[in-house]
Amino acid sequence: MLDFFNNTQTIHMIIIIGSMALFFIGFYGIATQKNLVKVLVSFDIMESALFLFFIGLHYQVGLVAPIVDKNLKTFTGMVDPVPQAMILTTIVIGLAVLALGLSFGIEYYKLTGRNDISKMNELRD
Amino acid sequence: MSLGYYFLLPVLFSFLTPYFKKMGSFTLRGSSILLSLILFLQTVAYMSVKLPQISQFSIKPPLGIAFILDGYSLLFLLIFTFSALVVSFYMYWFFKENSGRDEARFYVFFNMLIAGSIGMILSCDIFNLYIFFEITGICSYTLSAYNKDKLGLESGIKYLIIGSIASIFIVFAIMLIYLQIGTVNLGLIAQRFHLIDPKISVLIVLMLFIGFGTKAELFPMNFWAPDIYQGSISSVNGLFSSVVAKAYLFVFFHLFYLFNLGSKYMLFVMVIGAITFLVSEFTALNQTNVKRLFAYSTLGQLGVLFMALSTNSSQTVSGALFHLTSHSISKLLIFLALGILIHKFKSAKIDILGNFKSGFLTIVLAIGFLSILGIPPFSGFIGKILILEGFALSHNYAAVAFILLVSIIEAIYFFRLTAMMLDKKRAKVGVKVGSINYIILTLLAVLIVLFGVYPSLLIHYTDLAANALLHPTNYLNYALGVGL
Repeated sequence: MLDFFNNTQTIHMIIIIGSMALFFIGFYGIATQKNLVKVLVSFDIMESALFLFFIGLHYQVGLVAPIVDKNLKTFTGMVDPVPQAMILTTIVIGLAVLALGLSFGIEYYKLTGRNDISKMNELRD
Repeated sequence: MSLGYYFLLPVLFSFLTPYFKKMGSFTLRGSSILLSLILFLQTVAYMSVKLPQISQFSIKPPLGIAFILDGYSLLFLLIFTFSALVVSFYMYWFFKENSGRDEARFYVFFNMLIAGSIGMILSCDIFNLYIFFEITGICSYTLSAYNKDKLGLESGIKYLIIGSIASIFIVFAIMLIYLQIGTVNLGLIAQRFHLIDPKISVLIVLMLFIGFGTKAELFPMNFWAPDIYQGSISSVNGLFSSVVAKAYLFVFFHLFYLFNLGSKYMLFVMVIGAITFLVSEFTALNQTNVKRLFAYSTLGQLGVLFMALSTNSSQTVSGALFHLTSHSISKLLIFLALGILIHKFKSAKIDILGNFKSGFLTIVLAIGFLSILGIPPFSGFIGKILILEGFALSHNYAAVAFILLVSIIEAIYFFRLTAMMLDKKRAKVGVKVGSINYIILTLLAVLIVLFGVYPSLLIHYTDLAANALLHPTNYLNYALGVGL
């Protein structure tokens, strides 16, 4: 029965549906949540959905990870390493932005005792 | 010097900032000025070199990473390094007046911001461009929250949320491009962009438009910009207006012409630019906070630039680049001069413009206002007249009439501000300008008048830039590694 999954197209379909669902969960969080921490977590969910989508679509059944070891002596039969390098970098950047956002949130909470983004409207004319 | 130093030196400086701070704040401020001076002089040296220049790292492009400097990026590089130099000098005064502020935190992010902006305009592959985009983004979030008070933190949080939305769109666009073409090199993407399925290419263009348009403060994604300007200190406002927004605008039009989107999307960008111009100038009319007012004015000018840069005609584009340079200098002047007033009055209400007594600041601010408005003999006039001439030569009289009509609205508030400064009946308080500020503000004012009286000094470089932007054959050859 598991042979059903041993097919590149099926896996790609599952990844597309799954990552889109995850993306919209994140989008729903951004649209509805008022708590700054929850909004930042929603961003992270959206980004993770993109990462899964991109890495997943570059996977094909029968190919191995692009790491040189005893299974991989020549540069054939491996998946494209560029997306993985790109996603690693993007994950690091996402982490930095998340940490910065949380530190802003903590400072703001210390000053005002609030973390509700709908009430952050003191910047006005 | 390899182009990589434009990125490496400021980053190295940022890492060494704690050591400089240990040696005393004079060393820290002085070394930041020295760094900006080195970068600026290096850029001046590039003005007499044959362009484009390329610096490649280990592997030849299109596979390896490379930085390319062509006529278009040279103009922006001059603006950025010059602004960095002026702001470094200004911050020397700022930290002397506000002793006890966290200097190291400012200099770390200020130099990283310059590094990121310069990296964005030099990098020739779209993924590096994204990384520099994020570096610039993170530094601008932190700089806008430099005042760790309620307003500063609120602007930092808002900017961070908006920036994250923009970066998600750009990551998505880059992923789609890689899935379709299998490369991140700008030259190869430009060569193969027409091969992408039209439906997906529309999606990619839309994502890039939203991503870079949000950051470049285009309507309707620019609602955040005045809030950010209001919450941050005025030297950072000057940087946002003359460096950061211009860097995103650079990337927007670089990709626009490299991917050859001019024929399909020209009208779209032009209309969006026109709406930006109209809405911002109308909103600017009834602002009572000077920072918000000039934020809206910046948005309006960016709208004109978007209108003029999307026309695909070399005269209009050259005029727009002239206007862009002139706008950068004038806005830097206005925000730095306002910073002196805001420091004195501890308020950013519009009344402070009527309540100060300093002949020097009045003259300098009036030059800035009139230059942005486009009154001769200041450089803004030449920029506007070149744009209008370009539009008229391509028989786009609607655009000419539109720009002139909206400029009348602009004139209302700029003349009101100038009249307020010259009003003798108001209570006046003397303001100490500071010797460094005399020098840099005079320098900026002299440049505005100089480019207004001898526009040919600058037109040579804007023509070069317009030519490189509209006909990127040389750039593409270098990006593809042909003949290296």
